[in-house]
Amino acid sequence: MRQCGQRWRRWALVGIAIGALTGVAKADESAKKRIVCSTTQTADLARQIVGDDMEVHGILGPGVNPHVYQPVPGDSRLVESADLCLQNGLHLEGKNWMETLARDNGNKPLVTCTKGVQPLDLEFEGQTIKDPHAWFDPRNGAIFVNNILDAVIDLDPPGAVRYRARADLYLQQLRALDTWIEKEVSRIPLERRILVTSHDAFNYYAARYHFKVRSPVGWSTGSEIGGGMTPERRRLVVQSIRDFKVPAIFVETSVNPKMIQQIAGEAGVRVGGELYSDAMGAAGSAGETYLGMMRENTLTVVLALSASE
Amino acid sequence: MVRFACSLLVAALLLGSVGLCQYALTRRVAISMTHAPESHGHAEPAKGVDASARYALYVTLGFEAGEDPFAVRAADAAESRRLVIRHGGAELFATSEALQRGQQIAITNQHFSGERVALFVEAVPGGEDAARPCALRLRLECEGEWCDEATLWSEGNGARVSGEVTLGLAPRLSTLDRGLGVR
Ligand SMILES: [Zn+2]
Repeated sequence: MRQCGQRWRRWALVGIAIGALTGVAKADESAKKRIVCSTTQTADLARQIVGDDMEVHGILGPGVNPHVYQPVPGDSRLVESADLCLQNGLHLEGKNWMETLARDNGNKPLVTCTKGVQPLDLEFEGQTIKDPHAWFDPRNGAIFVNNILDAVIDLDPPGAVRYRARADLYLQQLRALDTWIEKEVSRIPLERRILVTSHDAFNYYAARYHFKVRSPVGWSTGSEIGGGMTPERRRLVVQSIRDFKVPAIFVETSVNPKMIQQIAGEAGVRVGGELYSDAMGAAGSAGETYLGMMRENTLTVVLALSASE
Repeated sequence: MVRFACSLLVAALLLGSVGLCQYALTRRVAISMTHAPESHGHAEPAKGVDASARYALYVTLGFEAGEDPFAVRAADAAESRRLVIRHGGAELFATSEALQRGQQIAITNQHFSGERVALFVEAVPGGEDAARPCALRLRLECEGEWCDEATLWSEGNGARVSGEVTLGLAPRLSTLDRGLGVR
């Protein structure tokens, strides 16, 4: 009888210990700081820096267009639970939806990743618009990384050494990417470096790697100034394809491909492939990371434009 | 008799002039031998280095030293330095200022001892040069006289130009082989 009591006591102690350990693990999990990002690019860069030390959630899914996105109630709940919010900025998030979400759901700290980027100016009917697609130049990608790094160190100063180490390693990967793209693109003769895409998203890539860009739709697919499709812009695209004897044009993952397919038929040119533009690829796809997205886009472009007719 | 005496005199004169020529030739060879390294560019270092001698180090950058677009943003001033030159743990030169391609920096009034000096050099290529292999040139002079020089290369695209360079301290003649430098 006494032995039986002792055994029970022992099992109870074991149970309490397991319970306590599970509790600690659970508490540790929930104690992780949470970052909520507007775009897939900012979310990927944040993940590279925080590793497993923080939770990173993205509002936009793969292939979702940030210019015309309408937040849903689930987004508000997600932002409400955040310790830090990240956005691209420069009005990529149409009607500044990320700023609204952060403000209306607990006035959350919001970091704009394009802070410090030298924006490219787009002229439209006498107005100047700052091009928000800055991540397409890997040097700007490095500015995103540094802005995110500063923000996560502010959020968790004791983790600074780990965050800086990860950022340092990742920046070396961005450097290698930049050099690699330059080398790959050199296969395309300068006179054939014309990038015709669904919307005007590749200006930074074009400026960095010496391309000309033409798109039927402006910097945004939404209704902002300088955004949307105009018949004049469409006509210019067809004209450019003929004038420059462009061998291939491209559709984008986050924009309806219909218009580019129509233009290709009209101008008698082939569609060279699909480019990741305002959103990265789905999990498991080559474009699920920023590095993968840039690599795949470059391979698609180089293959299509360097091929002899 | 007179004829015999004349013959002797002529023979003596001939022998004498031959001897003189030989002597002059030997001397000339000796003179040119001592100057041979100058013409071939391999001067012997002057014996002994004056401890009070003042040295000047000239650093010429083959790249723009500035902000590296792919670097973690500097947390403090020490991390944002573009060029650092150290000797024996002490900093001879350090700057956080951006430096131009081709710019020469003169570090004067330095005292070194021994036969050689080891300098640690680190420079950060910036701008467009951050994606290329880069090099800088070091030249050491003593009281205006050339001592030694070397070239330091980065390990690859975007890497810092960083390493220890040893330079001879003995002043040499000025028409020397400029060398291939160190890598
Ligand atoms: Zn866009």
